[in-house]
Amino acid sequence: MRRPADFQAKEPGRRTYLDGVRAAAPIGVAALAFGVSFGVLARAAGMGRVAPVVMSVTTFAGSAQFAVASILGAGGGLVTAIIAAVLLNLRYGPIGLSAATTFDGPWWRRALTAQLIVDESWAIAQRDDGRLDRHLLIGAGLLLLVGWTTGTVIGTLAGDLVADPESLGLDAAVPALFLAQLWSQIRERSRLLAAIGGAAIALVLMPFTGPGIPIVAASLACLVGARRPR
Amino acid sequence: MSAVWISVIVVGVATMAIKAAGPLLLARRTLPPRAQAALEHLAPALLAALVVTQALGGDNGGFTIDARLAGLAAGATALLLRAPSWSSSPPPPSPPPWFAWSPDGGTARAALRRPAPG
Repeated sequence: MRRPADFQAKEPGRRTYLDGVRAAAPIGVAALAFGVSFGVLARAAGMGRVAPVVMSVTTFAGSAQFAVASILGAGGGLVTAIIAAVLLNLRYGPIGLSAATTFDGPWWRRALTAQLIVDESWAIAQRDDGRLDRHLLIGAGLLLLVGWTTGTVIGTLAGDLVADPESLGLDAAVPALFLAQLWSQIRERSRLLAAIGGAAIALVLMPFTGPGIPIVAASLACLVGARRPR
Repeated sequence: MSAVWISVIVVGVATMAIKAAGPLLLARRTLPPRAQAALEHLAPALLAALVVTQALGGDNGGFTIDARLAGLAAGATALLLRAPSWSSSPPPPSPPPWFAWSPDGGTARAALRRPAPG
């Protein structure tokens, strides 16, 4: 697991929510820009103005939201969109497990604060002892949520002005966005193998199936991880 | 109810449940190692499939080669150089690993500046 080296505790001082906000500030700017492109794309996919914003607040997971927007926009169907998005977000199962002891308080507060877990806030909150810093995670997660949602609002409004996002080349940016997320996921050889396997399965199926199916089938490539349990 | 709202609600509820599951239920239990390892490989497999389908997918199935491949190449180049492409200042000596968001913003902006194809 890579850690944000800049934020390893040099002194054992307690971290505050504001430390988390500061740590996430550079990514927050990108989350805003990313949110704008999601808003524009979702609007172009026929999701309207309100639904993408509701989705950014509740789902709060970039790749899954892009998957839903692009599959619905391509006419791929409701079920494939939902399955692809849920499969994408299944990674928050084990990530949530690693954060299981991080939160305290009554069940509803643990459930609520757990919503602030995204890949980046989770990475920022890593501590030396292998546990997560609750304050860093909440501060970083809140900033990313605000940036992501604000960007989505701007994007859905700009979608009115932008008739065809393809003419802006926004569709050219989408694969690169996924590549950037994939890049941060590949931390070891077996994950690279899973990525290659997923890409290969998708490539083979694409000529024969509708949009979405290749993505769902590609999830089978995760089984390369089960060969060699750690 | 429209397909859009059904997907927003179902995906939202499912995601919130997945995120909350660990902190709510499994504070002391863990999955079997093989299941855990497979789950950890789900994200790279799915993201790679998304890269491929979004870069090459046509409107009616099959493949289409267009500007999206150029965008992908630009993104890959930015990642290989690890350049924080949103700023014109020289890159910091060692960007932290979680800086993976920077090419996103830069690529989106670069794409916005591109002349309209066709």
